[in-house]
Amino acid sequence: MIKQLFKIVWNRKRANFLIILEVFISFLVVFAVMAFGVYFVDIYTYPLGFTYQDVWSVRINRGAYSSDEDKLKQIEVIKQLMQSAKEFSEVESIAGVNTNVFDNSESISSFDYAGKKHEPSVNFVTDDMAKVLDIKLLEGRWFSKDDDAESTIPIIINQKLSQELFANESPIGKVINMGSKEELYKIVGLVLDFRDDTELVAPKSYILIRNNINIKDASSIRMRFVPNFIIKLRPGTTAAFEEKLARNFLSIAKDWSFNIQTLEDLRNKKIKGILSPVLAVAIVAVFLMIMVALGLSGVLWQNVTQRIKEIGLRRANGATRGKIYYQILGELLVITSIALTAGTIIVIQFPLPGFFDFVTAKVYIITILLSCGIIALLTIICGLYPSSLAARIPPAEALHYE
Amino acid sequence: MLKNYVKIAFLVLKRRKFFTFISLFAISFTLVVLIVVSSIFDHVLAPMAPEINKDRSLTMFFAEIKGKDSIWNGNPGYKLLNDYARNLPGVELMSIHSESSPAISYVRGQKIVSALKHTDGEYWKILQFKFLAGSPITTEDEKNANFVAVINQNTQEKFFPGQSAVGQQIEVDDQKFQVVGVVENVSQLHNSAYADIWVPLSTSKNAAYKTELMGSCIATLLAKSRADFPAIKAEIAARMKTVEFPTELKKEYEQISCFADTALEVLSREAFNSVEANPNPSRFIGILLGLMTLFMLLPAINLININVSRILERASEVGVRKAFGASSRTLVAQFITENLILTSLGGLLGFVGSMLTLQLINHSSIIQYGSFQVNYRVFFYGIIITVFFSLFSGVYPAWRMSKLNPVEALKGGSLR
Repeated sequence: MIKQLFKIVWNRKRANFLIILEVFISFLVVFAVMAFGVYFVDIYTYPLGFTYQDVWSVRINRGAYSSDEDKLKQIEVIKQLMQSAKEFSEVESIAGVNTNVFDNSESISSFDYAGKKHEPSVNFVTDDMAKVLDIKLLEGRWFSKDDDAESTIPIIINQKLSQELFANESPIGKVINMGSKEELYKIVGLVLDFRDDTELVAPKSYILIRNNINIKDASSIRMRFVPNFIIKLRPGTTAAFEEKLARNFLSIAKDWSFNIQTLEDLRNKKIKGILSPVLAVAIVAVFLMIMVALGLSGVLWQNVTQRIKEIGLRRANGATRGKIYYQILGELLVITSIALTAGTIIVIQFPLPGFFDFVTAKVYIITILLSCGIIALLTIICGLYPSSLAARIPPAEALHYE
Repeated sequence: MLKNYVKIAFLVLKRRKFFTFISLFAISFTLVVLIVVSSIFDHVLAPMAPEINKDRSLTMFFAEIKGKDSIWNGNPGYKLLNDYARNLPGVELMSIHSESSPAISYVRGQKIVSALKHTDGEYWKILQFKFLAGSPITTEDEKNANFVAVINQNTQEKFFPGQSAVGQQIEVDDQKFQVVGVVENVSQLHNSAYADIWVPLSTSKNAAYKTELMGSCIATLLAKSRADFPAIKAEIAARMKTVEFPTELKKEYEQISCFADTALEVLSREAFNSVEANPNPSRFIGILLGLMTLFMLLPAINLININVSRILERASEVGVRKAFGASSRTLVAQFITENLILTSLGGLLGFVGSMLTLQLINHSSIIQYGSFQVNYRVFFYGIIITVFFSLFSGVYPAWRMSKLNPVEALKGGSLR
């Protein structure tokens, strides 16, 4: 039966070639769109590692850089600002971060460890950061005032980096050397994750470095300027408090400006930015598929009317309606499977570095299966009407057909 | 003859309504996508108000400083542009302005976030804003640090609903400005022109910007003509080698680069994250055309498939015409004419569809103050695309048709 179907398809190869080509390209289109879809669904399911509800971010704008002596003055102002914020009853806790949560910027540090190069994201944070974002520790401890006396710089890493560096060993107490400066960093804590790029960006390895704003030495790399605050508020705090807080900040630092936003808003903006182009492409792809479906139905229908004679003969020779119906559908399935096989072979060559390197094997296989399923479904739906049309051809009409 | 073809074409289109519908859907949908995309690019690249001089302007928006193991890239600072990009050969006018950044106002307990841009006086000479009321910021205003502001229509409605803003006070980021002008909203994609509120550079809260090599500024250079571009670029490159670093940067960095880009180069620099002097705009265009071709592949094959089916439907008609002595050429010409008529219909629908889609994009808040339009240039692209499409999808089926054997065709034999 199958062999017979292949033979029929082969005999009409010229008519079928274009259909195969169309199904093949449709598969590639669906694959490309689905790859993104499956990828996003996949990374969305991993935990974020912190909570952003009732947290505000404050971006501090004070120029691009400053001399060492200015820096000390600025840090003093930063401390005053933090102190004044804590005095409001609405504020639960406040911390300073170098790279803001859900921001578009990031800093990356590259260093060698045990002969391998690593490039984690780094962030400089003050002691209360975990309180503000409710970050859970898996092991070790968070930063505290006691770290002021340490000779090494305390850092906290996420699980992904811990895996990369030490496989399944506990990272606590390990010391790494980053950069050309002879400064040693000691791992004091391990967190599950800190995905500050939202759930729609793949998890990355991450280092949180303690920013010690109590030192008096501006040239030390242990102290950095704080360009952003994150503030945890009591639930139910209204937007009216925002103006109060902004005015208070402005009264302390007259020549700076402050941009206050909720993390929720920042997250929505970032997600919109990631999804908009994908959505636009997906909409176009859906229309393309509608177009393909219409085109295929037309072509198949035309094919059936062309083969009235042949089908009539088969009916006259005793083939049942069902047989005819399944023959036409079967031919279509053969055509589709040829196209999908070719498509899959092409796609498997595809994990191009740089283009699809973010796609894990799991995502890849799911995407291929889904795309094959969608295309098969599409072609079968297109073939239903023409097949029933073929099955309804009475043999008598076919035999005197001119 | 042609009249006959047109008649036949319409009869055929009416006879097989389903096929006609499929073809029209495919053609018009493809055109909608292509025209919408090219309109958006046209909107970014072509000179139009307020950036009417785009074709002879260069933008300096990207700078990079490098040291042994540190790289910092971002916008150039005011000092770099002011000390090293003034008085370039062939430049008529030069403006330094900041990137627009969010600024916050509280009006009657409501928070309003506006895009704020600091500009000099020349900015208003290079860019031609449409003033609904009042006048621009002048060079004098900038020199004397006058607290004046130009705002756009949208800001006027938010701050002063139902009244004219000119002469009134507006408070932004805790600074008070007097509104001197109101302009029409400018699309977010016009990078140099986009803002809600424009104020003089010298009113910046913090005078530190004057000493920055890296910062948040953009320079717009208006050249006498495009022919001056290479000389301007070469001069900037030479001057970048002479930049003096302040002590706080000397520790980590030793060289700086900053480039003057055309509109297309700006796009490709952003697309490729390029840090080279030449961001390879031809590659950018190539990729774009490649993607367009890829996108058109599926509709084209779809159309060819439909056209082949259509012709086979008409095998007997072709047989009769051949039997009465019509040459293959006549038949091919007839079929291609029919196809052109069909594509023209699809083209018309496509244009209507593109206009609707662009209106939809304008009214959604995807792009702030988006004002995309199908203009004559895009219309021209559309016509080229349509004709190309029609020929591409018509030639192969027409050739198949001309090969028909009249005897076979008249007998209603099948074609392989």
